[in-house]
Amino acid sequence: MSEFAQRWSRLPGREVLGRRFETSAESRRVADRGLWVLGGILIVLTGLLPFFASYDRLLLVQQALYLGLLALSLNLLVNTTGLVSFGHAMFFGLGAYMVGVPFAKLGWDPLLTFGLTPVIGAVSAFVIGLVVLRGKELYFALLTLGVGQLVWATAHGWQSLTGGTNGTTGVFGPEYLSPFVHPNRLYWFIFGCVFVSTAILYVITRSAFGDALRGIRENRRRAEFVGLPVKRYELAAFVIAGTFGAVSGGLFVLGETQIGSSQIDWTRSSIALIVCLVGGIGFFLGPFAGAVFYIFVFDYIIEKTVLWDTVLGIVVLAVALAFSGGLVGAIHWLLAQGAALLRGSRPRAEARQAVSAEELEEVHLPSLADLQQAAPARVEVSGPPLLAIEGATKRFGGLVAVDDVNLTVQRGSIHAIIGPNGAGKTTLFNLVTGLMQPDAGRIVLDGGDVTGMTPWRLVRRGVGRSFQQTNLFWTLSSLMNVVLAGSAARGEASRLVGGHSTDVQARASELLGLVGLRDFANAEARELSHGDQRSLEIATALAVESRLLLLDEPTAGLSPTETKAAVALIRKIAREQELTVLFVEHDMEVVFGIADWITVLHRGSVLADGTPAEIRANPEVQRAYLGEVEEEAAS
Amino acid sequence: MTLGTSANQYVVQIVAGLGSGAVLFLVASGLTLIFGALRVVNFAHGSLYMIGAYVSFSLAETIGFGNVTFWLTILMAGIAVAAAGTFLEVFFFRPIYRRPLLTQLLVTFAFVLIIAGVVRAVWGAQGESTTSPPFLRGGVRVLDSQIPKHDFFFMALALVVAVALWAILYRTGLGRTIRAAVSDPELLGLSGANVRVLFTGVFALGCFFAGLAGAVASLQGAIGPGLAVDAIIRAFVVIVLGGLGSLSGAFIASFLVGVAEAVGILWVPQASLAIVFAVLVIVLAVRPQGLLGTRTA
Repeated sequence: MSEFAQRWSRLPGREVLGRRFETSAESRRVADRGLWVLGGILIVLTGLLPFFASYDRLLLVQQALYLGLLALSLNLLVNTTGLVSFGHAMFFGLGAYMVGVPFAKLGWDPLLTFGLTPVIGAVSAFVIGLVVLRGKELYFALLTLGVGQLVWATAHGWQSLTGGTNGTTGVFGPEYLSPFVHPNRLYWFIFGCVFVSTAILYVITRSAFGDALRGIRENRRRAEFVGLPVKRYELAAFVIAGTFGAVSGGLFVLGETQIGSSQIDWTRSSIALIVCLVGGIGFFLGPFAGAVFYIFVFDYIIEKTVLWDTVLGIVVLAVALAFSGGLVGAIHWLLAQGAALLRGSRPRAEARQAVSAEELEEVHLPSLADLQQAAPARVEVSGPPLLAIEGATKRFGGLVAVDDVNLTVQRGSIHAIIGPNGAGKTTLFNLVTGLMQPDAGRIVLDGGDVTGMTPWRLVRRGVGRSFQQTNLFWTLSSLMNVVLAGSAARGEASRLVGGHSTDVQARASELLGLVGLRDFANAEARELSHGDQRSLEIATALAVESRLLLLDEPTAGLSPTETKAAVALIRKIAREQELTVLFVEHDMEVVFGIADWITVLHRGSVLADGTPAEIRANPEVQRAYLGEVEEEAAS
Repeated sequence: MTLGTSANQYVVQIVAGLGSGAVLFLVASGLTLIFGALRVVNFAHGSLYMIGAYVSFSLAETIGFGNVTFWLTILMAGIAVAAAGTFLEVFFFRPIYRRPLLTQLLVTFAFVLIIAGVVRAVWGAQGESTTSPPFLRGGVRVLDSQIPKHDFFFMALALVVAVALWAILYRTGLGRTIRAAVSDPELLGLSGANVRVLFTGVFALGCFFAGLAGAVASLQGAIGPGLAVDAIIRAFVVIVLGGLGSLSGAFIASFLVGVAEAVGILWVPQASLAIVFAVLVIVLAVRPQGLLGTRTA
């Protein structure tokens, strides 16, 4: 998982701009604004094109518009959600045949069937998504390739319906243009449809749901453990992409009056990916830039040389290997350089003023004294337990990792689980948080049976978790890590329109302040020091507004000072917010320092259970566990 | 259709299917071997196969396609493609092993485009008709039909390659290292093996078989610029069906796909392609590790 995160953290489109060319943040902001102005001007010019462009040019731009929309819808999967589809042309095909076939066979009005293209796109993407989303990463790519080819082979083989390779060529006679009367009107109709589709996709990309998709891309597991129903969201993204893919296919048939099976095979899907890549995958309108490049440059090159696809291949190679920002990335970089020049400063000098590496190495926690003062007296442990584990058992083959464990966690307590390596601590955590299903036994939360519930449902019932290995949304800002967690836990991340609520944002800022990361709100999570990442992990776990917080070795990899600060922080937060904390820890000083109650696991079973004083005095524990630790220390 | 002619047709189609399955194995074995070690799905593998076909065509025109020069030709085609593959791996694939999936797939796809253009520029877009060496001309009589000799030659070659691969992998020290690379390249690197050179070697070996497959494919009578895309898609089906990275899986799946395609043409000619992809999708969705693969998705 972390390797995947690291791979994505080097997502094309980011590294070139952010690091290699070292333009200052200020210049980049100017360039961002410049890009929007430029994009706006180009959109207006494209809309007014029939007034000044030749008919041939108009047709080429029209082609770039359908291709651009296809690539744009694909980019929602590839860039935003991190799903590399090699079969997106199938939706293009379904939309195209939705218009072409009823017209050719039944004489249906193309405009009527065009209105149905989003429906066929959404319905087919829903069904196909259920199948292809079973695969992850490469397997997803191969599955989409396979289903895409299945659609292609059906269109190719079913000649009586689709005309196969030759297709429904020229099905529309001159009378077809009648609703538009003139080619310019057809152009405007297509431009209008593409414009509206693009606007809808833009709103979705910028919404809370869009942030949730980026979270899923960065770290699937973390996303699930902040309360995002990952599979549903991926399916929703797939349906949205399929819907607009089908619209672009419908527009293609309206514009080109033909569709053949060769236009929907896997090489076409690859072209759509290439268009995204060349245009600039990290930029919203990048796919249109790529489409214009593809249509115009190849209209030109194909007449000049037989090596046209070699040229395209070399362009793809260059962009993929060396200049991953693509065309829009190049423009952005030029604008940033220009902005830096205008302001009379060299960008390289400014870059050095950015936060230095040394500064990043520090941990930014509130001071220890404040924390200890703030920690109120011990809470009375009473009332019905918040969590009860009843006879939980988990086997891996012949190994019984967790063996008939009974355990209750009192409301408001800070409860430690200790035990030597392999005692089953993390497995027990996995059972409680829904990552694994117990083979026997029940997990009862606040009186209700939650055995076998998915992690995201448990999060929404108030079970938060941090991981032994730091688990964050790596390329999202610190603030967004926490905001997304808060939004997801409240079930607000499914908003397709508009961002996160002000409540969630205010709470996230407050939490960042609480863990000492206020000054780093805009830094990407991967840029923080290890200690700060642990703090951010705690803030994220708190943002889900859990009643029960499970921390798996919260101080792993921290220095003694950092450990003290982290422990004080956990204690303060738990007391102030009346949280129940269940944590696994190896550091005995930490355990005996903050726990109200300790459970000792040994070889999957509960060896002892009691207050710190009882555990310390228990001879069995000393022999079986503390003794071992001392032996380890001695060796 | 009487029972006699029907049975006869089936025999002919099954043997033809085994023949094309054998060529498919030569392509797919290299692809699955490369995936196993390098964890990269190489779209350009079909294009390298096509280069093998065209190189052998040109060599046959120069030095002839006699009973002796034939062997020389296919060997040289294999070596030429292995050299081309080594060049690709060292200069273009090495930088992408740790890059995002999209970069990996598009870089290998870029070579599908690059090679397609080059082949068209050098040999033309029309395709070429090819000949066979004397000892492989004509057919063998099976029941009432003539079955081309080259189909049997393909099967023999596939068997020889399979045995050779097995011997290399399971009977040599190099093979043990390759298998270690397939199961865990990082661990192997930590244990001190030169994984870079090993990867290049595995890549070159896979490309050699692709070149060999391309060279013998010209025995079927014609080659064209469509070979690359056709071969890579069928090879994908095979390696997924057999289990990504599994050689024995690829062996079985090659013949299954070859025979299924050939027999499918007798039943529902228009749907034969769709059936192949439907099988691919079902296998991937239900059993992503394939028939013999062990790795989970």
